[in-house]
Amino acid sequence: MTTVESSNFHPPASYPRNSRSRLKRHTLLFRYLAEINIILGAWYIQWRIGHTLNFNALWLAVPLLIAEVYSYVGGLMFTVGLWRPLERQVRSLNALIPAIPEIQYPVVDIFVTCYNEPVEIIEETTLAALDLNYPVDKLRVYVLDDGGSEAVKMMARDICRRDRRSPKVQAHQTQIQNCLAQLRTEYDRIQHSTSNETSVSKLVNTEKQRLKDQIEQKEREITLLDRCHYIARPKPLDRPHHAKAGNINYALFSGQCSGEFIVTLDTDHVLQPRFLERVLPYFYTYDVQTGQYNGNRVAFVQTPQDFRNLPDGDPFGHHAHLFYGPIQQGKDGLNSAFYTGTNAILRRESLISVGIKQFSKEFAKDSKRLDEFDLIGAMSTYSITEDMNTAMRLHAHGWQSIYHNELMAYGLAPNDLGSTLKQRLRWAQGTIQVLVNENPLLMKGLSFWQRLQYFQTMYSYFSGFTTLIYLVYPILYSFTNIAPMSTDGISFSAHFLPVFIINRLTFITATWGIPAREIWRCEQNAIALFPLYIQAVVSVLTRRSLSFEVTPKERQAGIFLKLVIPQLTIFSLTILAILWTVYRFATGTLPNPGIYLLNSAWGFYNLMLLWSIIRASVWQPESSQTPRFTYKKQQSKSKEKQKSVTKV
Amino acid sequence: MTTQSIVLHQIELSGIIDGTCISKVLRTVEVLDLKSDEIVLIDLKKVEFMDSSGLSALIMAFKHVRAAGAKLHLCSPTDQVKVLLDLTSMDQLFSIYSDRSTFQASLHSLHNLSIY
Repeated sequence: MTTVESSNFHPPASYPRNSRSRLKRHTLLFRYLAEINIILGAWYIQWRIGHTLNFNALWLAVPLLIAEVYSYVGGLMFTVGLWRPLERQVRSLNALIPAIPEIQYPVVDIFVTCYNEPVEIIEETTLAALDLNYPVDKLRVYVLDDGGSEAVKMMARDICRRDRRSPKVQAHQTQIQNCLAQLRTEYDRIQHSTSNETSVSKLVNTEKQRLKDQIEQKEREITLLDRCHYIARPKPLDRPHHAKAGNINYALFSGQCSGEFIVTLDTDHVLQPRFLERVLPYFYTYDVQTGQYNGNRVAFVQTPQDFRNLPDGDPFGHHAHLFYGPIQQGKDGLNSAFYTGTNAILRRESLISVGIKQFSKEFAKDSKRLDEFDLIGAMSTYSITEDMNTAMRLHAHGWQSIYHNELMAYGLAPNDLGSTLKQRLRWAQGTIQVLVNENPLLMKGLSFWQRLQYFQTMYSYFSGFTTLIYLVYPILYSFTNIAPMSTDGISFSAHFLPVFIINRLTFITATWGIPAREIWRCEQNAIALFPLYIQAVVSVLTRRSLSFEVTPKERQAGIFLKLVIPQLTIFSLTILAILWTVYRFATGTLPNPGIYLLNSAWGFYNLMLLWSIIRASVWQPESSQTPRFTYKKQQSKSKEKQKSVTKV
Repeated sequence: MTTQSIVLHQIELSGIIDGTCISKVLRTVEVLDLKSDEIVLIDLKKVEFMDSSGLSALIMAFKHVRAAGAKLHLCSPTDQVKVLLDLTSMDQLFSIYSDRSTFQASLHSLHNLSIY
């Protein structure tokens, strides 16, 4: 396989055996197919523009053409995004060559952000974070409780107490205490030594001071062994709180944490013990000249997200192997990995320095912003998807990012349609909000490819409108007989089918290794969620205020048919349209059976795409299947997976 | 000519100023029990190294000082700190003096003050 030469996309290769990256398998085949796909697509579009417009019904013809051009451009950008997918291989922190002595490991703060989730879920996440394989004196966990709940506070305190008594921490404490005892004896010994000579007594005094400092240091270290902390910010009603970003920023500036690295975790994400060992090496570069590891320009490392409570068949399409796979690996290849707010580790310095720069810009516009510096000074608060905006700013300031494709945390997905839709709506709204407020195409500091990557994500959320066109047109044609194209069925098939087939093949190659069923669910969701995407665009563009709604972690009961009324309407009309065509065919009144056959096939394809959301709206968990707390099973599975992860 | 009197608090930071210092710096400012129109001067002469988190401690201190109606000035930044302040455009946030004497001089000329 090709080894990717170190280029400006990556931290300069230091000692290459510690971390390597190479192109993902099948990438060359993918590129080959993608090129054909792009050329055929262009050929199809020019044919559509030049030869098929129905000038008698331009009102119908033009929107469809625009939709097709939109899809082509979107597909083109999507393909570019997949062009350079990287597979990274990295040595674990404790296996680096040369080794980093444990005493030099950086201090890591783990932020568990929560907001009124059940205490057991927070507890499980917190315990797993404390249990990471990492020196006890270098790891601190902070429960950032935005709900200000007394129960969570008690839980955090209780965990802290229990952790303090755990053998791991106890062993370390004994070690410090022994050291302390030694220092004290030495101090006492010097204390009693008397000498009349001034030079000697001077020396004694400096030595005394040194010992005193060391004793103080050790005493401080003992207090630092309280590893679980609880932070709940005050939330006065008369000021904006800036949601999750505000919660994290408050902790960063509270003075209670000062680790070199920050892990942000959503409440429900239980980390695997090896997390830190696997991600920290990316932040260091070995300098052969000085024989030292230096911090590099990597600002964050993102790892995948998966869920431990998904019912069989994943009715809501939460599996995200497409995103946490080819898409993120492709973004990684263009130094624009997506930070998704959880399961990621960030360099504190990068976050704060960029935050402060941004803050000084805002301060110049309005000096009152100083009053909320502790809420806005690090993570971006412009958008309800603060994670994306923050990463974009980091990239714009020249920081680099890594996507590490090894699953190291399992979360809980919303297992009902209402919550799922709410979550997707927030993503869509937040992304479009960033486009409106900080257009990546105009943002200084981003590379061309990074601009394209961010813009592509935003662009894709406008698909609601074009989807509506694709869904409505077959119905319109069946009932009105007015065609958006003036062509015959054979010539249309001759132009469309090659593009369609090669497009499928390209997609299959790009997503090699992901179950076809899951990919199909992704496609279904991309189409079936069209009302939500339209709603998102309209709400942002009309500047209605958006609220950050925390996704519920527990299933909300009920049947959600009323949430899918638009989809149901289209679904029923499409069935009627097909039946009507069949009826006319049977009675011999159908003018162009060939075209109607294509039209019905199109309608049928739409039915298949919409089916998932309708099924999801009536989906009920089987009584025997308890969706939550199936963690144990998943854990053993993940162990198998870990084995298969290639190590250098 | 009338002479106003004004209270000046002087704080000296030394050593490495990073994320571990945020609460220390804040506490130093908080215990001053500031009243409006008082002046706080933070001397940075002995700072060996400051990172962004250390700088955020200064901003937090500034926030506290301004909330009390008082003023914050910085003086004698080392070259490393100057670069940091420059890169983050903090010069528009803080009034920064190259050393104590320029600070004193500007205080005298601007306000005609005598200092206690």
